[in-house]
Amino acid sequence: MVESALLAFGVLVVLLTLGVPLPYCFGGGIMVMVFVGGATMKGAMLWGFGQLASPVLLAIPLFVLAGTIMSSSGIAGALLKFVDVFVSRIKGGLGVVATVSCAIIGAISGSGLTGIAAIGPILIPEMERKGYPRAYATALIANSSILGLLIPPSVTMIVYGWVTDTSILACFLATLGPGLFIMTAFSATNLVWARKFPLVLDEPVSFGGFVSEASSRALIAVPALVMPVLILGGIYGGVMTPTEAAAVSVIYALPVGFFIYRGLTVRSLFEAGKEAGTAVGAIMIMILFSLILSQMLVLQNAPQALVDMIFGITTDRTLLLILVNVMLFLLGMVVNDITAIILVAPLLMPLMQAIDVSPVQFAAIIGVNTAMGGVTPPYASILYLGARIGKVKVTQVIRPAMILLAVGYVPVVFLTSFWPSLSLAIPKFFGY
Amino acid sequence: MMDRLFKVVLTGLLLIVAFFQAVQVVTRYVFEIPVMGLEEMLIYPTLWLYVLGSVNASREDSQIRANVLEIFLKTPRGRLKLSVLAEVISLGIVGWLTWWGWDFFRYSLRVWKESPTLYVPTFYSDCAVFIGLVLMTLWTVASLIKHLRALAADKVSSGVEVNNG
Repeated sequence: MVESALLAFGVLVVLLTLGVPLPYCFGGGIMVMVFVGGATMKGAMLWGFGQLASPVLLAIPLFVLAGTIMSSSGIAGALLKFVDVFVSRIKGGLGVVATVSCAIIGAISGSGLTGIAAIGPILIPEMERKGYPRAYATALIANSSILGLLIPPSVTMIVYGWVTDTSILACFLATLGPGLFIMTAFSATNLVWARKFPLVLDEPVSFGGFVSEASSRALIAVPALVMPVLILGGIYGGVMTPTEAAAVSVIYALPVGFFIYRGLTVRSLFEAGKEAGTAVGAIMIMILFSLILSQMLVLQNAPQALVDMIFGITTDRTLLLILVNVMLFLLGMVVNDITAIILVAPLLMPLMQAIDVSPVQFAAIIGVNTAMGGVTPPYASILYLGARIGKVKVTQVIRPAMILLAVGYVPVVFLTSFWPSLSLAIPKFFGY
Repeated sequence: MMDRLFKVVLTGLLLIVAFFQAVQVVTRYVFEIPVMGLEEMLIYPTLWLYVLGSVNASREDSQIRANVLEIFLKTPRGRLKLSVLAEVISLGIVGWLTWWGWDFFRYSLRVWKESPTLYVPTFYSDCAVFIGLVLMTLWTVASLIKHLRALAADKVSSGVEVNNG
């Protein structure tokens, strides 16, 4: 029975490698389980489709739509100008603006692509004008864009919480600590790195001038800044579920985009709707077939067999955590974040519990690793989008992106694994 | 034409879902009168959104893929051959899944289950699986034909080049 589970996993990997669409890769795994493992498809569609009707999953399309509306509405521009007023006179300040703005946008959107899509077109040319190399600016914004997956709300954490039956609100908070750490690390690295560039700084202003500039920009940014307060305040104030908060954020973003920032048009709304609907459809159909496959694997006791097999090799907690991190890193290089979570979270959960890693800490470990996958080639969707937006070759972006990754990301990956408080302190503070 | 249709349908479904949820928040927390059956009604546009979104992903060839092997292939012809292979395999799998979608369709039609509060037949959402899988199969066939033609054209042009050379 375990042999058929291993064969199904092997077939899945081969199909992935060949470039077969992910939903069909899972379909191939299901076929193996049916024809070799003796599992049945009778009732599987009924069960799987019923699972998709979960209100929890509905938060995904709504957060994706809120993010896409925001990208085209001009909200990002107001946020950028607001953050810029505080640091534009510091050498490297514009780089900090990029990183912090991506984090703020992460508190509105649940996706890793929104930051680069919303901020990149505005800030990359501006950073180049101020003396930053274009490839560096693109790499910094693409890497910071991943904060969208770590600062709550996060689509990947919704999927993780759902597939592992862990509190989604606790999962959201688990990645907040690592996310803030990464934001700080990127900002600090940028301040050091920027010393090498011949930067043009804004003229110094008097205190009175600064206050008036800051207050006028804050006024313009208020409708944008209300959005994260609405979402996170609504969720953690106990007023709304994540799904309801996502819906409210869409309904709020529409008039703000149409009438206040005026970047949103009927045409761009339809474009955003199609983009969000298509992205969500591709994810959901993959979830449907992966769920059916997971159910078949669980019925054959495959996760426990995997734990026994790994424990046959080693029981050392440190070594196992390193191995899991390496495996997640490699997986992130070839598949996207949600796929990686669906593939391995249910399989690795028993192993994590056996070595006393709580599901909430594992949420942070898997969240940080899979988010990093967005900028690690060959499957580096966020980096590729960044290169396209920044109009630079991918090969030019890779070097600065990898340096930022090594300095800002890799240490946080290990801290998240070996310092549980980084991911557990904030959820504990909120009572999870 | 098809692009415009998907723009309207997907945006419409998303906005309906967002609006229903927002109405639920307002009625529940502001007026403290939850609307009975609203969540039940949400299931229908939600499931159709998922399925039609995936159909459009197949139409636009934007289903999620890993494409690991493609990186190691140097020539466009090699990549084209790999696409054809991946599509032939995809067609076999999606065809098999469509068969089981048909099984689910017939089951749902026969049982004619109704939702608990509003008694709306669940068949109206269940049938989305089969319809969606049929459309995804057709787009896979279309994509396979397109790539086979490109491969044949490439062979002809390579032959011409050889002859000319």
